[in-house]
Amino acid sequence: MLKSGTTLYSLTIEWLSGKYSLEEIIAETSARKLGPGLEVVGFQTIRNFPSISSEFAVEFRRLLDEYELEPSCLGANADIGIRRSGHLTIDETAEYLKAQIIAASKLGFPVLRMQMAAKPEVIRKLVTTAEKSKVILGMELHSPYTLDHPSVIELQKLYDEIDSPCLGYIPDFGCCMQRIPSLVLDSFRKDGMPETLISLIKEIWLSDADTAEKFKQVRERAIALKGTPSAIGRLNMILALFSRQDPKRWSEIMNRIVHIHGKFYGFDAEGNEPISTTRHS
Amino acid sequence: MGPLDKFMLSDHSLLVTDSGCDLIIRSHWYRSLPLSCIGNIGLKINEKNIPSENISFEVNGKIFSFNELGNLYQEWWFILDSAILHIENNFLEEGKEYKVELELGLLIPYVLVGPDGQPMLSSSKLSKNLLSRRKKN
Repeated sequence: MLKSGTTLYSLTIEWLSGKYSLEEIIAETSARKLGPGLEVVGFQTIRNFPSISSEFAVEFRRLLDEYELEPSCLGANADIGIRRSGHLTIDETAEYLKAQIIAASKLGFPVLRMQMAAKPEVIRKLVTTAEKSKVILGMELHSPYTLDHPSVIELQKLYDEIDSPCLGYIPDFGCCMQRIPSLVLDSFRKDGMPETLISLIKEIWLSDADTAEKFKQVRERAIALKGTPSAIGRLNMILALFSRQDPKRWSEIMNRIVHIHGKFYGFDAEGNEPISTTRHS
Repeated sequence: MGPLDKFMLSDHSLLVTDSGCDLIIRSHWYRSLPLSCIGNIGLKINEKNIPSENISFEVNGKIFSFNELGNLYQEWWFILDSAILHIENNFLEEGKEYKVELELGLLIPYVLVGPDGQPMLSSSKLSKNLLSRRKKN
């Protein structure tokens, strides 16, 4: 059965405004009937995450009970690039994520959102902890990780090999965009990005090159157009947020989908959302 | 660059101190990051560049030089917390308006780009006229 819910990530502006306590933002989510599912990003909502005190766990569960919400998914982060000297090793990444599996278990989340920065060798090391903790690891397929991405194909092989009920997918509909949202490009323009770079990213985004090639083209062609590191970072962000996969292709992994991230980027006068393909799927 | 940039500086961010001035800042990302993810801090006050070696960074009740930040991958900047930039030898008048331009470059540790998988740079700039106030001890 499909149930809807809200991630507090979608209330980031409200949360960062400082106008809401955790209880108030959960209460508001409930009052607006945005449940029953409630998802949070650990490193956004919880101080000292992934360390979870018993007091916080009790209070968090009480809040969800009181406001009649169900914990749906905890967002983990696979921060393999936190150290300047080089990526975390496979073992270090596994330890980094084990702590987040345990946090999910303490807070009552059935699913932990994983990120593709965690390689299949890392996922392999986490299966036992996930099974013991009764937490499903849902790999988020977020742009640029569409089903044809070599890393996703590699992960699918691992899933087939291990075949654990604790391994699943979380499709993110940013993978299935019709176009780059104009509000994002307008924010680039407002900050002084030249039209040559805006045209460049639109052209590369619409091309059928694979992901690695698109990132390479952004780097090389933006440098040739005298793009600053900051501007190149923004163009990379477009590729990291939006892809053009046909949403029907999610049916290929339907048996392993454990949670879904829908997206929307603005409505027209008729109330339609013309940018993402979520509503057409 | 995004809708969170407005949180980087508030109207009461600029403080006059005995040794220079303080600037109270917030992150423009949506989640907490360790200090090693602070790639660069660019600061101008009334068009005058403040070199990063003149800036120290206070968070969690601890003060670090800018050059130390890159090593601090276990020291976290919680997303709701402010940090304080301590700027030495940049003396300001109290009760005067200054144009403050802040650029904060964050290295996003789970979005890796390029052939070496470098953390993606997310950089935001905010320019704001701020009234300086004396820091209360």
